Amino acid sequence: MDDDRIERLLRQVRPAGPPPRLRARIVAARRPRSWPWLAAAAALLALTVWLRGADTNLTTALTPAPSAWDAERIVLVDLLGGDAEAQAVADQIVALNRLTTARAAIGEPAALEEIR
Amino acid sequence: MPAGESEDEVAQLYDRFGAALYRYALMILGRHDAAEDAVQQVFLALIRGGAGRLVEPEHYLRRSVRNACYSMLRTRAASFEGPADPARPMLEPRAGVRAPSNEDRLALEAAIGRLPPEQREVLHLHSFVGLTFREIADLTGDPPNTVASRYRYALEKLRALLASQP
Repeated sequence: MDDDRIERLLRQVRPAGPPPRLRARIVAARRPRSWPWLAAAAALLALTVWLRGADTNLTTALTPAPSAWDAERIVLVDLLGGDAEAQAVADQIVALNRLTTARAAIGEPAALEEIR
Repeated sequence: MPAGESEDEVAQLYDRFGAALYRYALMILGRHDAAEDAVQQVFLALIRGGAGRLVEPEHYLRRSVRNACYSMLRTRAASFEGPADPARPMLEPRAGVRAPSNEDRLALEAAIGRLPPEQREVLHLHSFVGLTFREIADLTGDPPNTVASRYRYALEKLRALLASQP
């Protein structure tokens, strides 16, 4: 095959073109258009989440911490078994202790006989 | 350039030059999958980098594709030594002219595939795109005589390969 024939053959063909998916891939890689309302919605969502968290902290801050007597009662109930009877006994013990403490604060001896 | 305009312009650039760029990459790399990667790489860079308004887009894109192809060849990313996809021929009949026989087309395709990338490139730019040797030299950065020699060597090798085929 001489050069003329080869060049004639080359004029009858060309390299194959791209598949359609190549354009689709390039177009899909474009950055999405910016939507102003999307940014505003995101900011509103963030604000709502932050406020919800702040509200929880505020509620926690306003809730009074349990007193020492309450804490003692809770421990006693747990030690005594946690049932209703344990709660009743714990209440009596806490009451006795509060009275003893109060009398001691004013210098009076504890009168256990008065509690029974 | 506002982002929105840049995105539409990229699509328009692909519609204008994408097919020609793909054919160019295909001839250099010798494989469809590698050519897709090269062209996609160039257009993704255009999307990311925001090249601004291109003064000569065709020349810029052709040079970019060329750089991408030879970069892939250097890093062996394009394993064109491997088997090509038989379902995707490298050559297709040119519109408006008498199509060659299937046998001739396949023989030419096999012979072109055995040329070095630089010779395939010159063959493509001169025979398929119609650039002069001077225009090819401007693109490749080689002297025009080198380009002409490469084309001559390509034809000689094609002649030898086609003659040796049964």
